[in-house]
Amino acid sequence: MTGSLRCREVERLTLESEDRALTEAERRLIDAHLAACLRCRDFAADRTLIRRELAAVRWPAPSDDLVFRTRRLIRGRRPDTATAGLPAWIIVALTVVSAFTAVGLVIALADVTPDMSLADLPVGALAAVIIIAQNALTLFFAPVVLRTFRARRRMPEGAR
Amino acid sequence: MYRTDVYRFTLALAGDARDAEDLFQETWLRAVKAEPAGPEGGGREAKAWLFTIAANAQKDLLRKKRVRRLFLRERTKAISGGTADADPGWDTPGQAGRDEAVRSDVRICLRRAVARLPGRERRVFVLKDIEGFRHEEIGRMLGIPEPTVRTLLHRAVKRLRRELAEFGPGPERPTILEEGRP
Repeated sequence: MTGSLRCREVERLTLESEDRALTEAERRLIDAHLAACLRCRDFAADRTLIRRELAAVRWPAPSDDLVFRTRRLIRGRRPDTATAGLPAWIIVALTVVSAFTAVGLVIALADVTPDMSLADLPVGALAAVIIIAQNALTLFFAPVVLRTFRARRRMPEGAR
Repeated sequence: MYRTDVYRFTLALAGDARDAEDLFQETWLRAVKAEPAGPEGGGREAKAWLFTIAANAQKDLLRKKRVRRLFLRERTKAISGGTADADPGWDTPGQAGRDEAVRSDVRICLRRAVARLPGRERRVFVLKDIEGFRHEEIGRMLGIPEPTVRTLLHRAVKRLRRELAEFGPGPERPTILEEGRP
């Protein structure tokens, strides 16, 4: 770079110096220009002022309410949690398994009377009770587990 | 961790807290929708990706606002100063003496001036001066050539200087000529 610089070029180089190291020639030309040009010295001073003041701004974090509303919005708009459609063959298979379980439970619990204690139950009946309890727990917790898992999987890494 | 970064960016872009909240929500909605196409893992790349989404969302929101103004014949906030006087969401420091008060004035003027920058210039300026991205990164994020980034930044700084001179607290404005060398 040779010769003298115009004010516009000095301004642009001033901005570029924030992004890359200027060459020795550029630096000399700028120094020579700044020594003689009040306008460009003002530009450089204002630039420093702007950067310094922006660096001093204390930016707030998003409120908990905003984060909560955003999460709710995301859940509401996500199609796979709202209307997750199961394939037909899974529904048929579940229906058949449920029907067999129901028949098995009826047979296993046929001999059980209300006055029997847990220890008096025959093995088949005890197994049936365990299956009932297991299903109840699964039905209760499955939606919570699924929602949490999907939310974790779908949210970008940094948002967790 | 990025939610604070995204919120800061949307605050700086939107100019007031209410618009920033809309932009924040829109950004995350789009991010979740576009997540499979996003970068693997976290880091600067993920942050840049989120900011790109936010910048695009702001572009769309500005466009919608312009259309709404056209149809509803709203007086533009820029003319009435509405944007400048709305809740900025930027924290202004406590009044700890004369120096701090003057600096606080400068910061208020600066906030107003940034809010008045045209969309493209504002996006470039915020990405550079507030978020600290390099020209090359900003070009990639906004899909514009690097020389355009430099031109937009130059324009933004010149416009800010004009605005600051207009709003500035006059003789009380701190002079920093001695440290003004680039």
